[in-house]
Amino acid sequence: MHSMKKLLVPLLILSIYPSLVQAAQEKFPSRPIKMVITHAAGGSVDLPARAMAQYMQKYLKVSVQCDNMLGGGGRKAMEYVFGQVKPDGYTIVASAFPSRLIGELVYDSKYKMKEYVHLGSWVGGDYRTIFVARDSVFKDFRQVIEESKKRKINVGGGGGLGSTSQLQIVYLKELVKLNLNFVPFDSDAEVTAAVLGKHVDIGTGPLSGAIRNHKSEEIRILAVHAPKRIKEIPEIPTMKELGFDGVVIPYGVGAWAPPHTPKERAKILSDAITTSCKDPEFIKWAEKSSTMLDPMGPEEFYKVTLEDYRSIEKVLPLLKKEK
Amino acid sequence: MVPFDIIFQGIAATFTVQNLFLLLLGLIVGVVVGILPGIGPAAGMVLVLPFSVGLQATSALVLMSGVYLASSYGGSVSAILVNTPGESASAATLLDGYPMTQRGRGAEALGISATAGCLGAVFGVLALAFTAPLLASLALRFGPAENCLLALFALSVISAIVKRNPIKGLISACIGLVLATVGADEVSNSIRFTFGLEALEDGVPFVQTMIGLFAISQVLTLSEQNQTISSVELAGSGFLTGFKTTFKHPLTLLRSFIIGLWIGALPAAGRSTASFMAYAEEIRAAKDKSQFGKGNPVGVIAAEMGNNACAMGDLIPTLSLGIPGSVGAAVFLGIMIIFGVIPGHKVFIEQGKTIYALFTAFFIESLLILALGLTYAKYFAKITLVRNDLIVPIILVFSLLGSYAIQNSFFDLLITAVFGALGYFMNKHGYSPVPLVLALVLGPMLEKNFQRALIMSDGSYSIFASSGISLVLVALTFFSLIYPYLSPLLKRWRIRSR
Repeated sequence: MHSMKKLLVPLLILSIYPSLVQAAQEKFPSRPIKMVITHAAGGSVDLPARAMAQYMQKYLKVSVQCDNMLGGGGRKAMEYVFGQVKPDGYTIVASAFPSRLIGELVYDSKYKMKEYVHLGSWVGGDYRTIFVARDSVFKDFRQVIEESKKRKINVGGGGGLGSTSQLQIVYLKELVKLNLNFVPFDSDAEVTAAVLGKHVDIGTGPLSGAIRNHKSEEIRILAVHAPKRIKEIPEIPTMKELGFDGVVIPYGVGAWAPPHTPKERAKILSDAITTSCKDPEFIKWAEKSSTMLDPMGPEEFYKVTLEDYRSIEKVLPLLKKEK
Repeated sequence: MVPFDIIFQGIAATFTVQNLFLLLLGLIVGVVVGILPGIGPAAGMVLVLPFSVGLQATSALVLMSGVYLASSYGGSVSAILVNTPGESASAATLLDGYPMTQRGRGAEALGISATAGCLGAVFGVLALAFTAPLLASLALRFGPAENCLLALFALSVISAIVKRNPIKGLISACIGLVLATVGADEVSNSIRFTFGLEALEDGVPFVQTMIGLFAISQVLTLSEQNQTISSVELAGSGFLTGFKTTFKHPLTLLRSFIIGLWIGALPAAGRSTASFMAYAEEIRAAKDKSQFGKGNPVGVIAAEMGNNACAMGDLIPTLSLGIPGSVGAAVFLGIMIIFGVIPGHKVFIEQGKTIYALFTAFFIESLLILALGLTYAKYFAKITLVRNDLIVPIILVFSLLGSYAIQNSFFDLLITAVFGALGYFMNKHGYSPVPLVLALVLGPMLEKNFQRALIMSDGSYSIFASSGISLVLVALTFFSLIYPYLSPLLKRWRIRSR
């Protein structure tokens, strides 16, 4: 009996311990935050996300741990975070847009981008491009269109499931009416290799990668899917200037928290992102790594998502056909 | 040609106290990352990335180079000693490395691994430094049609491997090919053979499969036996034995080096393809094929040489074109860009100092790995004398942790378990796992490039005969398919005519 009494006190303490901890946790954040990254370590989603995590922890005063969860072109991680039973702000997800929307709409995924709490984005101002080898017979995009009236043009693109590369091909096929064969590759790097080896006529890929090879004079960018000309390559026309309206394809990296995350916690997180974007060291990092920064706050980010919904829904039947 | 003063500046830049310290740090991290299954060079480099904040480009790349190179040595240590591939490229090493261990020659196998790996890296770095632009432009001539035929040629080696037991061998190869088709068809994007499981949409995960097929099946076998992995560690083995054994096979070294370097230079294939192809080519070339898989040092030499030459080969298109040759090289590229080293054909001059410092670092690391491998082999090998009831749970825990850690997925544990059971069954009934793994590695390369080539030619098969390279590859494939069955006939004919 005596020993039972001895046990009773620790048991009592143990039983109220969780509520004690909870009380202490009122202050957010008080333990490490998990940032789930939808793509592989070292890639174009991962590196900017990890860089952001480093600066976020400076302002949040807790560590932000990065966790790559791969699968289904990012859908697995998006569904995992979306389905959090207790959205407490300690699990967030970083990924690229608008490819997450394509993944949702084309593959009927179990997450809804509209319901995700938008925290903010930092990478932006990156657009899809069309490029050829430096010594290709095509000197501008008009020549490609002319040639495609005579024969099918082979177009290389990287990506895979639900990528922006698919969206670009649909645009080229249906809106530009390019007579083409789409040759899919595993990565943008393989596309560049196929273009340089003259195995495909033209390649498609993000500006951030293409611009380096353009500057080192291996490839020539023919056109960008951007709303206006790019500062670094002012001589390259946009698709709109070439006469094709409504084929802008942006690319950005941002972060989201699961639906029903408490508002005040979401604000703390998005403030950390906004402040990090202004950190001179972060800006210096972006310049050094030729990462294109175009930060958006939560409201603007959400608006962009809604716009992207509308433009993708327009071509959704075509995208589904491609699938 | 790069001016010599740039090269010397680069060499000199490596020898600062800070850089040598970082080199050593990267090397140690690399070996540990390599030994642990599930963390490969790519993840390892991302792990040390935070340490490089505030460093100069040269110092940061020296740090990364250690992780990049040493992880393949570490991966082979666990492959050789406990049949657990520390990373995917080491899976070829265990095919003969582990049987050597079982026969008490573990230390020797480790010595071979260190020596062949060192030679691969040293000659790889020399090739990288002096022929990178040339090899890169040659590699670009390999388009989808050529890559498809190359994979087909590599697969045709199965005809030589299975000669002893064609039916079991072909069953094993077919399992591999079928598994290679699971997941999203990368060309049409339709999803095949996943049984509605989302986790299989990206295909059967390779490293998790290897851990199951080799490590878990071995755990099952070991737990049936009440002894140790190797009954005795042979006296006199180790230290210099492995070193000497390696140099007894110069032709193997040369063949595997060329395969490794070339597969590396191709953007579409990485280290595991290189090591398995080098291993398979040795079987094709050998007169007595029955010794492979039973502890033939040649198998270890080929796999290690192929793996390390490929690690350097991967950097050829990465540096000279900005096109990474593999996942590991892609991370390397990303980190180079962060530090302002922009690859391209001009990088050897414009960033010459950093690039040649990087090459020097690779050179020093290769020699350090050799020294480490030769001196510590004896002690590492002692682990195989630990009683099975103690070592088996440890291997099991680390294998499963590794399998889980790759994608943080419980489903992968299931995959590992299923392949563990399959591997155990194949072992018991005399099915060689080599055709399975070879088909699993090469299947996707074959299929994807076949489809791409046909899209490009609008469905015409003439694309497979449209270049000189293609024709040579087709001829080689036919020859290698019929040769094993033709050679006995030829021999008989020769005897008769005499």
